[in-house]
Amino acid sequence: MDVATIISIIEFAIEEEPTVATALQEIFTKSDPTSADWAALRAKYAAMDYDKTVTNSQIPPENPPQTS
Amino acid sequence: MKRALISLAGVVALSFLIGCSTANTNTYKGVATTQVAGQTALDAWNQAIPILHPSTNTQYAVRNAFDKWKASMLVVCDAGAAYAAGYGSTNAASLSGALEYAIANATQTKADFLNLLSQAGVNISTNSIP
Repeated sequence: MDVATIISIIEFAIEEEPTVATALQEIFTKSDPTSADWAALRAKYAAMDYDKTVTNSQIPPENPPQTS
Repeated sequence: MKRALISLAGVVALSFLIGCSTANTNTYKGVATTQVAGQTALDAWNQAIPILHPSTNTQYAVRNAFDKWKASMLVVCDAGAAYAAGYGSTNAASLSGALEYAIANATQTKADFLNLLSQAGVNISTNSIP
């Protein structure tokens, strides 16, 4: 992928969805990632939660909060 | 909703494009971009449910596919961390192979997740990319 294509996609994201664009800009400034960078990225993945994000779902959560 | 879907299309296309590289930096960027794409996909799915009224079976299937994709990406991150730590060592080739294997598996789980969303009616076509 050439640089012009990357820039055009990021500019498109900036216009359409600023929060996504910010995340993309942070990613593209990263160079030579260390194991700590990978660990930080792993934490982002680990924090992704279907039931907390898809609040419009009609199915019960996988891990309902404890009431006691 | 439209904005989320359009952005999703862009991010997904980006993650596919830069995901092709095997260099450490580009691999990291691809995996990081895919995380953004996955979160955006979930947001779009959440917005789509009241509009598309998917069956509960479909919702269970999407959640299961998401869980599998997420688990596979955690493995990729672990392999990436090991590769970054061992880069230049005598074990580098083995670590690189492990990372590539993890990426190949994650690519499949990502495709399964996105295909389910597409079949449910969420437009994730990459045709709208400039």
